[in-house]
Amino acid sequence: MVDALKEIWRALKPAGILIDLRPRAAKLPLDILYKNDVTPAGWVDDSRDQADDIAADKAMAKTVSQGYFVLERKATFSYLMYWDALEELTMYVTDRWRSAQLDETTVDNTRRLLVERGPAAKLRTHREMRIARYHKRS
Amino acid sequence: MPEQFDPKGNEIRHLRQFAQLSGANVLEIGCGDGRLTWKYAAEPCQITGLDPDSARLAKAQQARPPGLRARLAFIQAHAEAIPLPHETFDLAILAWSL
Repeated sequence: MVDALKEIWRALKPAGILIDLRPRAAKLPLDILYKNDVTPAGWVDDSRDQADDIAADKAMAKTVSQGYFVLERKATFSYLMYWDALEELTMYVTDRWRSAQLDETTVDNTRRLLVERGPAAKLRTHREMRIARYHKRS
Repeated sequence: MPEQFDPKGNEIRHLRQFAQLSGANVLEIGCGDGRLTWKYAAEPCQITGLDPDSARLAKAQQARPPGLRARLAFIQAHAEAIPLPHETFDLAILAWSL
């Protein structure tokens, strides 16, 4: 990761800007939305990549301490994800969100709650996103 | 709609708050299929999307609007070896990729 950051530093113009935008690896609450009700159904476990997340933070901090980049500011925000059906969520996790896992209890709870609430119910989870702005130190 | 992500546009709003996209020469690292790229592609003067995954890059190439062809390029590469000259870009975006 440090090598990648040094390569980005090389490709940036003097005083160029680096944006680090990424989700935090974590267990994410999975909710069922129906009318104005929000019912917890379980978790989308996206914590498997926590070690990579920590390594990325360390790599960024290292390039700052070595004088490649200067942190200007950072923030967090929510990234909400909605599905209409459990099958859509499981397909998404299988095909496009491979760091995430759904446990059996969550799947069973979700299926039961969706049957109880009917076809108008939706699934929602949210990822905590982090964004940071750095400038290149020449 | 079977799935809907970030319907309030928090991601692109924060990106615009943190980066001057208009007129910039942008390097997006980890552009994948162009999911984030399309959200800001109208603003920079030039975008280079970098990703090691050829299948995802092929999707991005296919989805690239004709109007953007002259100023949007996709390159298959790892961030550890960017096949581009020194001091080329005003802005680099690590798109869910560090």
